[in-house]
Amino acid sequence: MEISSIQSLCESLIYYSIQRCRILDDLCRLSVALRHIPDSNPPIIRVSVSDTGVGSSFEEIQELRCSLNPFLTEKWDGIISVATTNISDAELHYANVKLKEVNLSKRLTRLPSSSKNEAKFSGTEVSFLTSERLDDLLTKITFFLRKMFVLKYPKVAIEILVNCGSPSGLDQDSCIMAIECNSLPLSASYVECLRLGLENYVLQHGNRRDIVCNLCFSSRDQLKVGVGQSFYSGRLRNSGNNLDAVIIISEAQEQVSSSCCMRTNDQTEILYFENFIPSSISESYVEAFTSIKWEKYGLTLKRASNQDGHALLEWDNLPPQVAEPPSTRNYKVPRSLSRKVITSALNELKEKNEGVLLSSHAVKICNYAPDLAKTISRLVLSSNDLQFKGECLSLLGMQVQEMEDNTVERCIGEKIVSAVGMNDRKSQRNKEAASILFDDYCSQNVDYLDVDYEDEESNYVDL
Amino acid sequence: MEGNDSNLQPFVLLQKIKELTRSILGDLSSGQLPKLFIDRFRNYCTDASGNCCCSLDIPKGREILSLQKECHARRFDILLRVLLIVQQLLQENRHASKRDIYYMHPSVFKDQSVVDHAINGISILLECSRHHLHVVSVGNGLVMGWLRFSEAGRIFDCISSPNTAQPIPVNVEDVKDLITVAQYILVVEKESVFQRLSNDQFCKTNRCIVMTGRGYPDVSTRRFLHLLVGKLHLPVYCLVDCDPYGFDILSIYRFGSLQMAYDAKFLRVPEIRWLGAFPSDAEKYCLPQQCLLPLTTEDKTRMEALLLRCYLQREAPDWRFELELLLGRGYKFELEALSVHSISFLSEKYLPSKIRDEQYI
Repeated sequence: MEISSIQSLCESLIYYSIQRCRILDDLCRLSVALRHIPDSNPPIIRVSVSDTGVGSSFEEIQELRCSLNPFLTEKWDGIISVATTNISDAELHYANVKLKEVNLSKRLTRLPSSSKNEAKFSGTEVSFLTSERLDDLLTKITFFLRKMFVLKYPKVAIEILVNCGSPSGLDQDSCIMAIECNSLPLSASYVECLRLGLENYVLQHGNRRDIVCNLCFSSRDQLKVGVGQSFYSGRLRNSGNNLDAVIIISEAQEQVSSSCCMRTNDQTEILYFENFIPSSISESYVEAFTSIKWEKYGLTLKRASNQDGHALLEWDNLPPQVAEPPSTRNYKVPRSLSRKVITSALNELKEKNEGVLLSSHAVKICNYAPDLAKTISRLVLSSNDLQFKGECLSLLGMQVQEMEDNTVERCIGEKIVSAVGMNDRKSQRNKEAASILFDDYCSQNVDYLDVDYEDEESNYVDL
Repeated sequence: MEGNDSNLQPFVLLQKIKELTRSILGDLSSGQLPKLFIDRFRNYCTDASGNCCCSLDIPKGREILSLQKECHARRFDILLRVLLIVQQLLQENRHASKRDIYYMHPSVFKDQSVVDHAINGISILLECSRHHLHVVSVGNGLVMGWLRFSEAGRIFDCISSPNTAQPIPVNVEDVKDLITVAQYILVVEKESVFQRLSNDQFCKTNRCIVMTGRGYPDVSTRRFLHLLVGKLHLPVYCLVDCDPYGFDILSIYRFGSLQMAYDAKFLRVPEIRWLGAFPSDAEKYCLPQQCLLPLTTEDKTRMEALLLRCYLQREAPDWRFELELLLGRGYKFELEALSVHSISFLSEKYLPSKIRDEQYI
């Protein structure tokens, strides 16, 4: 990992902390503490990232790479202090790591250990001193951690502790900036956690609010969710070679207050997590998004942008009531597979939600529904055969009292749209079934999977 | 599809429309896309060997119109709009022309041919002819000669003035009381030729009935001819220009059109004989070179397509032979070219000699 700023150093340390917690696979606590060093001039803060996961082998810290960025060297002396112990250890081990040391073998300086006094615990604290402004760093770390909460990692409670320099000590004056403990059962799968976390993320307008925006979302039913999963080679839960994708479409209420920060442009945010940490999305993953045949979902992708790790999909024809933040959590898998997983999430979303993500083809057919409904209703209502009218209303599940143009027309229109949607999903399923049959072939030639066979225009019979 | 007329009364057709509507609603209620099954008819194919079954008047396949395709959705929409109009016509016992129907939704239909196609589809679905739907075309044909008949109480007494053109009735099914002393029926392609014969008092000296569809014949003209031939059992001759269009029109009189193949049985006149003009008439009647026009590329393409029609090989090889001759010679001519000798050459020499000497095929 390349360290280019104090923020990226913190994120890397949090990353290692999370990995140690994952290895323990039990309830853990991860604390990020920012503390002013009293009477320091210029002001110095101590940043520590501690966790109750398995102990550290020091190696991971030594592998960090420092850039020669002058802004970084000005604010940090390049030294990281580590205290760690495993559950079976009798002692706490200490070391300093000089990351600016070019010779890797000289980076680590072990310090004297201290006794655990027969206590049984494991954990690590990694800390460093920096002249970075506390407020700035706090904002950045908070933003990062809140994004991480989207994953709702099931067994880790995360907190930020801040001491602003009060001599009375950290415990008394710290303000707990955030603490997140998962409400889902421990047995919940990662993707279930991701789904819940992403729902909260959307309901809070991408973390721009601390609570759910009740102006825009009266219930979670306004969120349409699709999940796609894939296991690349390792099949076990923690084997690490899997990819999850969650896609959410939110239906905004028509009357949204102008004060609401709801995004109204035609963009979709992509949140990307690698090894349970918010990460920059690589170009190959962006390509996976651009290579999807979006017309199958009634969408036209204008462009995909990926700047400063912030990836966006921009649409030409996003319906006004729809905002769509997809999120993926994955390990390194081929682009074709990531596309397959995203497509699988889109398909599930479409399958479970009638009328959502209809293909462009189906949308075009649905455009005929109002006219068709009007004509069919008039075929029924303009008939002078009362018995026939009754039979037709009965077929529509309506009562004779409801025999009005608009009611019958609306009912028929809804049924047409519903049938077209069902057929759209059915043809999707059939194509999926075909793709399963030829899975090996298609995994290497995935473009064939997405080919839509455009229906040829039927010619009118000529004279 | 005229069939037994009791099965084609408005009441029965209205029942069929209701069944169709019920079936659409039934499909929708069960979450299915509604489907319409429309039989496909062809009166010819391009199997030039003629070893096909195009002459059997049976469906040559079935088209399934459903909302799976956008083009089908549009056709579905148009077909149901026309069906609604037909339902109203039948219920109110009124008639409308195809053009009337077109102007009911011109922005949707966009073109008359779209309405025509929908009407044909409805005729196939309801297993009837177009006029049973109370849809009529504006009469285009003319008739004169030794004939008298009535249509819906109106008397058409051509006999009293045999060289005066009368319009061919639109509601052919209402034609009754046919009386004639004619010896044959002459069908001419063009109105100009029809008027030439009228001016020349052709029917005064020839006991015949002369008809024209004024180019491609409409349904009324063909149904009227079909009626005359069926009722009067007279020989029927056809006179067309010696060019691919003339030949195509001749074929439609004899074999019916592809567009209305579903109803060809009631529109075609297999007995019709080709009286002229043959390619060889140019030499036989000494037409000067100036009267002969070279075949265009379009003419040749059209003729090559005509030559592929299976019915020519199977039922009219002598017609096909003449067509090949026409293509081989590379020039065409109009009937009016015969006036090069004298303005009445057609009525005084050409036609009488052709009929007398049985120079028809």
